[in-house]
Amino acid sequence: MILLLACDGTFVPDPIDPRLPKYSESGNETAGAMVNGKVWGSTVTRFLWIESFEPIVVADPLRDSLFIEFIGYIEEEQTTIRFHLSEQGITKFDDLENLKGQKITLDGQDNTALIGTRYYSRNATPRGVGQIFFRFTDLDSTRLILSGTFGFTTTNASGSTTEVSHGRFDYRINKDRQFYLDTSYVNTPDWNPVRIDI
Amino acid sequence: MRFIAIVTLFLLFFSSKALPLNAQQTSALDKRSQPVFGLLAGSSYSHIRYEIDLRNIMPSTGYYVGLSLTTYPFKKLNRLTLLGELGVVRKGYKQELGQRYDFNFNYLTLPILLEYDLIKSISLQGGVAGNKLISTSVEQGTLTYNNYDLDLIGGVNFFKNRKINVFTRVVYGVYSVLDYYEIDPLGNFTSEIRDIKHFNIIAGLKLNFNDNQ
Repeated sequence: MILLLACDGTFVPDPIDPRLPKYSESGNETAGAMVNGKVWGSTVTRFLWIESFEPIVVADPLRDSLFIEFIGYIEEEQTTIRFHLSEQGITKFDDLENLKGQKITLDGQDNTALIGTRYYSRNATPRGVGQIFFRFTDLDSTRLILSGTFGFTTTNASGSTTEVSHGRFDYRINKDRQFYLDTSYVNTPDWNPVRIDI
Repeated sequence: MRFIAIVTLFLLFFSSKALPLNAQQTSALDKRSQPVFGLLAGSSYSHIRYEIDLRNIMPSTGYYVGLSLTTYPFKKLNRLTLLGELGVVRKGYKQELGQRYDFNFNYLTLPILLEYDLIKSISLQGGVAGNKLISTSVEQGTLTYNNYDLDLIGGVNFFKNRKINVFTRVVYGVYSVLDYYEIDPLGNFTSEIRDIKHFNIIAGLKLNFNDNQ
């Protein structure tokens, strides 16, 4: 029982670039990407009843939007990657399985991404342009394995760009703990978080 | 399972060579024709051949330990011997990307070699080895990398008729050990990869438990 409670994500190094996790579809509960040449990494850790770095998925059926947040680190700084997607038709947990095979272009408007610190300002504007690919999903009654890749670029008002490349994720989304069906989590209609300089 | 079956067949084959059929036949054989058991140990320069974009790759150091059985199955070709070995070999490489990453692969290996006595103290070896991956230094390495490999082996054995031999070998991996994807910076799966082949140079000593001089 204690072993179960202390179960962490499994970082399997990529055989080409071992700084990143290998692309997998096993629910290894890890993610990674290169961010302006630095490594962003996320591996879920658990001890007793405390979970860290679990991703969060929020669906807003009224506006047909989907919000996915991966929490990780660049060096010592906690850094979050967020995706805000529209028109995916997610109205309940089971609908997440329909993401399988979806390659979504991030246009910076309806579908966008952001990388930043854990807490965001409403006044900044960078919106990621690129792609997220949900290559694999596997659903059972209480959890979903969600695996895929991503890459995007954000540009702030001064023209400074942040390039997020070779992103990959392989998470287990727990229905009761990591999935939300309301709008309170994303508390700003115009989702405008600030980009950090990396 | 298939590998275990091959190992069992190998042991049965060489055991039959090791055991004389009967006393009369044994006495009729030349002393040299008796099989020789040996113990091998050596270290290796271990590297890989690859075509994918692996950056900052460096060779690593491995080892080889094993048991050998030398037999003389060719009565009219007394310069030719057949060697069977069973051992563990470590292959691998290193990668430097801000910090050092070690990729070590431990294989159960089954070399079968023909050895030709060039002169009294120098013999040439050639053959093949079947390998089964048993462990790696990489998390879930036996799931990431292919579990079976085949080697081509060429080498030289010095002082074959002494209690202690010196041997050196070039071990050339035939099959790719990695099946993976090429993923571009945006996350597109652009192609499937079959790459990374081992390359080792081994040098070591062989201790013969009984000699044929």
